[in-house]
Amino acid sequence: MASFLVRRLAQAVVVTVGVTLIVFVLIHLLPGGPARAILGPRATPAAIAHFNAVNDYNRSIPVQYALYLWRLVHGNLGYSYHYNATVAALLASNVPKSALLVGLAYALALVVAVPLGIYQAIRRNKAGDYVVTVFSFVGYAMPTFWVGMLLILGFAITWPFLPSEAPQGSSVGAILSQPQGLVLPVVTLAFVNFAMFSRFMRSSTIENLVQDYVRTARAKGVPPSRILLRHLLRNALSPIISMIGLSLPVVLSGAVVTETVFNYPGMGLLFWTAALKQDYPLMMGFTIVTAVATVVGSLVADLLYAVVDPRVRLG
Amino acid sequence: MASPLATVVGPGSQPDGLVVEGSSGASRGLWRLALGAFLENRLALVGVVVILGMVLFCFVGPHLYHTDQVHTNLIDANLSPGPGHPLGTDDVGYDVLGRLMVGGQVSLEVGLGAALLSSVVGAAWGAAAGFAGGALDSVLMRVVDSIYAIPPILLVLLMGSMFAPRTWMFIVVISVVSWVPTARLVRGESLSIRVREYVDASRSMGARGGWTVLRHVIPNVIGTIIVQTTLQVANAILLLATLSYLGLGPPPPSTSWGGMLSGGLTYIYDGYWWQVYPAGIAIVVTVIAFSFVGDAARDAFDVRLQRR
Amino acid sequence: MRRGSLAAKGVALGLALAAAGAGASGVATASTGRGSSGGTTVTFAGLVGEPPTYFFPMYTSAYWDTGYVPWASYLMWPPIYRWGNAGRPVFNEGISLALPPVISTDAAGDSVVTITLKKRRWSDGRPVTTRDVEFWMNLLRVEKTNFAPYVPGSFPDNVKSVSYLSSRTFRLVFDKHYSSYWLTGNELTQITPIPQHAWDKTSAKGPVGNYDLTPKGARAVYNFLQGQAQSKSTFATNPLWQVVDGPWHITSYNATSGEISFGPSPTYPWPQKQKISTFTELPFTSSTAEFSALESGTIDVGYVPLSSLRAIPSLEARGYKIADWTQSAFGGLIFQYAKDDKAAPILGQLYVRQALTHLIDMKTINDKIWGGLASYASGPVPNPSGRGLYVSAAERKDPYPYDVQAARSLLTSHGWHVVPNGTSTCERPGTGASDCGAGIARGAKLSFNVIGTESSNSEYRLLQYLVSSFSAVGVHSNVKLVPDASLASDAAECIGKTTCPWDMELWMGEWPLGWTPYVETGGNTFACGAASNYLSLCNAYDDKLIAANHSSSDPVKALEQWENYMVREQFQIYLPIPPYRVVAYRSNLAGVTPLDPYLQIFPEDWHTS
Repeated sequence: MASFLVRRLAQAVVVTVGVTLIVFVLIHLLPGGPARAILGPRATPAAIAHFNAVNDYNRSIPVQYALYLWRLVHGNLGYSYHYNATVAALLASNVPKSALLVGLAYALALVVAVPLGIYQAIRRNKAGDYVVTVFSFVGYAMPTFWVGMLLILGFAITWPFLPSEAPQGSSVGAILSQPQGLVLPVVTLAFVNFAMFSRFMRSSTIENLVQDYVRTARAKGVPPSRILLRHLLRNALSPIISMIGLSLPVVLSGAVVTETVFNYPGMGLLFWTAALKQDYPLMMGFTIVTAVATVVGSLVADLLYAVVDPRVRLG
Repeated sequence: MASPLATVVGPGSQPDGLVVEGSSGASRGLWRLALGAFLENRLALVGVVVILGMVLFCFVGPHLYHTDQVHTNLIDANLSPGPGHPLGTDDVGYDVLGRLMVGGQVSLEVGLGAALLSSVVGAAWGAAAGFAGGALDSVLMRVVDSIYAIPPILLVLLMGSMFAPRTWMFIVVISVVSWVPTARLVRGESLSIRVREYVDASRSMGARGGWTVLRHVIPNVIGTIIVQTTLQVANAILLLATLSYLGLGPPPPSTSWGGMLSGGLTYIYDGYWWQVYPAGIAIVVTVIAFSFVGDAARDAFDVRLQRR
Repeated sequence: MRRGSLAAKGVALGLALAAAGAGASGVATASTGRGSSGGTTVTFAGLVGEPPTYFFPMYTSAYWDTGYVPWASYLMWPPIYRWGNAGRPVFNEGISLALPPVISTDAAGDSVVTITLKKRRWSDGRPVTTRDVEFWMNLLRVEKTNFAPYVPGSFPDNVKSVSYLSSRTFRLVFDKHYSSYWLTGNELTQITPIPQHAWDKTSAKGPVGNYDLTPKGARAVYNFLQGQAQSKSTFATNPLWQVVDGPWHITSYNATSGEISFGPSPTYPWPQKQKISTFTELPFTSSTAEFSALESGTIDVGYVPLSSLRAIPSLEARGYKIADWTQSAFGGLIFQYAKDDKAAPILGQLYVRQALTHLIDMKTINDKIWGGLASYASGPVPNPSGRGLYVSAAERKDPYPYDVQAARSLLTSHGWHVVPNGTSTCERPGTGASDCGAGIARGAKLSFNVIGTESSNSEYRLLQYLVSSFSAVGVHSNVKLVPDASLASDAAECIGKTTCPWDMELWMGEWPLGWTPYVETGGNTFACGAASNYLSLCNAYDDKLIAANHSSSDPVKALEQWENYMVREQFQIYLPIPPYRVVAYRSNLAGVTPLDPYLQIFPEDWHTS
């Protein structure tokens, strides 16, 4: 177990560095370059040369990358001209807000999807199963921005009892103080992820239903409700927890669109602005946060998987 | 961004580094079994019919229903459905029904193209990693992990702004973010196949590595690949729609369903419903159809496994 | 909805989001109530997605377009000469810090400018003197590349010497003779007095000295001030920034949201008694948010997105007045003439450009895309609302009006095989009068790489219209869509290069304050090798006319000649320019209009009635 952990941690570090390398190179291959993007179209060649020299953009990409890693190790994520602020400060103020949005959306999706998935498995191929199946497929098949816009149209315009915009507070507390503004963004993100959870829950429950331990319990006369709670739920939940870890990058991407639709002041919106402005340090900051979240997520997922599922051997 | 239904709900979606014991074998009889199970699935048949219908609509439709999808007509913009324009016109005067056909061509081409390309690349990569094992496996899989840990939207955005937007470019860009799950699944399966005797046997008989991969590993994971490909079509169509929403979609005068949808949403408050719902419903119906087929294919191959 | 952009341009979803205002934004309450003795707070909607993050008057390019700099900076440290008067793009003597310049020529024929400062005081009571000008000039000399408006060879490079004749009079000797328009419109407007008695130091605790007198000291002072300007959390508390000669000083600043408030400076000669007591700029991250706040009555001066113009009657019923904020800017479809660019020989032919212009119906564009609100000039000298300065008669007309047949015959008569809806090809290469022209081979195609945006709905419709119009005579467009925020950097990508990935770019330009010169002479945009020559245009005759714009002793005539040439040549296609914003302001708030075509705001003129 210990050696597995050490190996996985080493892999995690390698992957994180790999992510920064890929994104760093891609970003620096963008046409135009950061100087032009930041200094604007009226910048003179002299101003561009000056800017490049000050920010080391005149070095070769490997040197720039090494410098970037060196600063990263020292906790320096860079500086955003657009915001006249350090990337670390910007991320520190925006990451918690995104975590709140994603966390609430996960929670809502799970609270709805887990019971429904189990229900579907038990009532497999009955009317109820089909209804939920259709619902989850529609959730999966609708582009996130359309879901968001339809919710705005329905609940902010036609029946105007919710704001069309997320709270604009600068801290998590300020956002929580206007909970009505959180409803639509959270529901949007939850809805598009609901499909994933309910389908997964359904199939893993079905798988468990035919397992020996359930048959044994049934034969022993254990009441169905107890089988459900004690055995099925426990066995079906662990893969879902690991799936949460694995789905993080995709959900964070979904959060970019959701945050853009609802103007939610989180990391996704920050990233989108940075991408438009070719704000390299900020784009890299977003990448690193996402990569770390993903790597940690899948590490935790692996561990849980290994701990819970006895069929798994640590390979 | 698309939900990762296809990413994580695939068979054997075990995380990297772990191997679930037990795997598959192959024979003609089992294939027939799988096909039978697939055909029993009514949803799958509905899916196939819908997909065929969509293909006919988009590629044959324009030959029966003639509209000008090149020239704008600002005077006749935003007409509501009526004679001459059964689904009205959009904000520069294109007939929406005709636009649905040409937009669908792009969406379907990109969806199918990206699914095929990502499956081929993912399968080859995963099989190579799984069969080679050892250091090469580690290197290949760390690359997979790294790409997986980058939000797809970031990759798509960066590459989208680097290349000229032709259909093949959208196929390549979307493939870059979608080959990863296939690679993982195929790698997991080929890893377990590798330890099976017949591969050892063929190796001892002097077969070269590449031959072994092709001969034994690929046929054994073909079910997984088919499932993945089908589900990736759905994912690719959704990703293309997201690209349009972010302003990086197919350029004029062409369009995609996603481009029509995001363009129409500008006017959602004006009551121009015909600019929103036809394109939106086309996306949803097509994506669901491919998901049905993919799900049914998975069930069919599961049956194959169960009755082994 | 295309929400690629966070900018306010036509992206907005619209309508009366009455409910949305309820929880839309945690903005401060605003009231333009009665102008009681307690004073009046006026709230103003800031540029969407661009909260003020920086306002040091010697701003670098890095902050120029991002931080909305001159806007805030001019409120506190205005340049000595100001333009924009009563909504017209003309010199404004009244609010300038100095008397009009006295321009003469010395024995060598070079321009000599004598400037006398008006009697003005800093907010701490000290007089504004030529020492403050000298302080600025000394910092500028050593850090000119860090000053955004700086163009090599121009101010201050073209200043041979400065002499400070008295505490209020100084004299600049230029390196040659310059047009008086160009000097007052583009060069002298950069001079901005800054408080030497408070800012001439190299550390926060250190004493004020005369560090600026040596280049090394000036650099140290600049670095100190620049460092202070990057400390957003101290914007409202730093004593440095409280010494102003403009009408306003910062009273509060929220470093996270960018909300900023100004109070009136006690020493500014205020134009009227019932001045507002607090001027607050509220930050918005989307035009939706801004518009809902306007709908819910949270802001006193805000914007109506172009896609929500139908909400105007309901706004008017609730006590708002509406005004178009037209801008002094030009934009359109720009062409690329980089030396080795494949399409450059084709676009270099006047008859091709004439044909392309003939394919575009300016009136339809204005009516159907810009709601009839746009201003049109067929050349580079802007004509906002028809009130442009020095706009020649030729520029007021479309030289090559909409006429597909004319376009077609121009091409066929020059040896092109025209394939409507396909790609026309050159059949008669050569340089004769009925041949395709120099550098165009047989079989050359009328096919161009075009950059445009999908992020702004109006601009996307315009792009679709252009692509479609061009196809009528077989001009094929390979369009690449980019987010509108990157249009500017894409346009500038090919400056100084010999090839370019694009042949045409649709860039309507949203020009922040200070981007365009007050008097457009082409020196920065159309002269060979100029810093903002996005077209890579190198045309000897054009350069000659631009040089005359800068040096002629009859600048009006010189400008007219240049304009007429530019109109005839259509080096780019000038398209109707939409208003910068459609502004809604409370009807009891006087002085907001007429709005300034250079996009400055003058809240010192605002008062409640």
